[in-house]
Amino acid sequence: MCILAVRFLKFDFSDQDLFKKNLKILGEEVLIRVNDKNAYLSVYYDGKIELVEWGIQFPKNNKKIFFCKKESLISGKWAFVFKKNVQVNASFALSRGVWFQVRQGLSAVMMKNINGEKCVCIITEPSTHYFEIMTGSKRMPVLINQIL
Amino acid sequence: MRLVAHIDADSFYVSCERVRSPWLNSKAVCVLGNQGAIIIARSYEAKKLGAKVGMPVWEAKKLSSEIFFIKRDFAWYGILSDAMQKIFSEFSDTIEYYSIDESFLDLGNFFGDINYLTAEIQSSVLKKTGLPVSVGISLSKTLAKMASDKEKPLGKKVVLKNDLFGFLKSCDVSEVSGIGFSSQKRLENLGIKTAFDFISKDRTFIKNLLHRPGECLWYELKGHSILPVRGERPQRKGISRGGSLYGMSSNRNIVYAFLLRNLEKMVFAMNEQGIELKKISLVLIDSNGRFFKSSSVLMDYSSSYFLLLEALKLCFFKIFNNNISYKALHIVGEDIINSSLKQLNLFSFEEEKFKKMSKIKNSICKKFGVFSIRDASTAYINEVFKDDASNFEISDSSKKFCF
Repeated sequence: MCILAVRFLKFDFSDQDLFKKNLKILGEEVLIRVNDKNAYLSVYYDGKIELVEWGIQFPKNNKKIFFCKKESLISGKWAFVFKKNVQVNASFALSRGVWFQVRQGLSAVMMKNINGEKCVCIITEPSTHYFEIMTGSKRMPVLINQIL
Repeated sequence: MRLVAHIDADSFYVSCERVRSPWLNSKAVCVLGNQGAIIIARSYEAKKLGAKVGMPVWEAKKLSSEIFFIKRDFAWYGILSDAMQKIFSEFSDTIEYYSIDESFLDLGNFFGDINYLTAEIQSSVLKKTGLPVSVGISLSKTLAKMASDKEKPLGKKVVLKNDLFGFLKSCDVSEVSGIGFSSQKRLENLGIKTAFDFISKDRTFIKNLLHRPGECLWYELKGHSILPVRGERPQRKGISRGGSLYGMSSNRNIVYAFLLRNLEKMVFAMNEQGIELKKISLVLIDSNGRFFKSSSVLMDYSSSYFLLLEALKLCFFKIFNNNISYKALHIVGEDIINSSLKQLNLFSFEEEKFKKMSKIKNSICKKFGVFSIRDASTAYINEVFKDDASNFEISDSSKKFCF
């Protein structure tokens, strides 16, 4: 998995919203780990910001998917669940032990799971030279308006 | 009593990032350079966790899970550095832009409240830019620099004649700007451990040991201002651009594209500074760290991209070997003059069409940025140009004295 955790600023949400979802608040930020029981990301789309579940569960193999490859998206492999491109708001993301700054957000796809609930998967692409040196990871999240 | 002020921004790169991302305050932050490999700056919080400048990121991440890494952005740091300089001009007419985060101010014969002035400079910079700085005021540049270093961060220190000896006794000889590691060891072996020990020795003893620079420091530490605060940058002796090839490459087109990229940067800087050169060298560094160098001397001083390229091409084809994997290159220009002082020549070494092309290229780049029009052969490394942060290096902040 190219990123294991995301931090985003809490100011877009009320304390009540964050408390309802049982999210971990660290000062001004919310910390979400990929293997958290309640992994919700701050997602911006259609002019609004919402907390959306991170990852889609497929009943076939009961596996939860948190990322999708840009190459697979382009080739249409996600067409059956794809709804729209969205932005995941983040201040930092964690990849292989390195917290790196996210200036605007991460590109993601919004989907609907088997229960009809919204969920989001982060889009990944082959790492740039910089990202690979910094983290050792061969894949990186697609960053919005930022080059690492 | 003539006084000099030294202002040094605290954790400058990190502080610049905190100006635009306030949620970084109180976090352990490291700024990465060298394509994401090495820490080039860290916050005091990261320093406490053991992070050091020059440490690779893969070692730093082991220190703590709460260290945050940011990619350097020299263009942004340059903007804030310029903003600081503007504030300094409210306090002095003579400012030496020593480095991107340090300046000296000539306060002349100052009669007012020095402590008030120190506080005023510090609060003015903090209020108008958000940058914390440490300020040192003393009788010479060397003493002012030592004073500002003494009580970082947000330090304020005034050292005058009456507290000079006490101050020098509290400073190790390693804290004296201009005394490097090897000089420090030599001095310590002779029992000279503090700055006070240094000035207690006879001047000729110090001069024999450390030559003229050491003698200069001896006077400076005694409170005699020998080194002037220079308002104008002295004529540079050389100019260079270069760096990593974003990985290893033995591909001729890619290495050549990086050569052109760095030449474009160098020519842009030369035009900004109004300088021309006569000797140009190319250095290629392979994956084992071996250097391959070739130089070319031009018929006349020039800052023309096309003339310099012709000279560099000769150097390139002389030393490039496609069986060798290269990791970095540098272009070095020497024998530099100010364009306005160039002797006119009856002969022209450049075709008229290239002169016109140079002129158009320079005016487009000046208006829209260094790579707004570039050599087509750089297309092999288009990905590199997409990253605005990598298009601006610290050496591109031209007004400072240290590069």
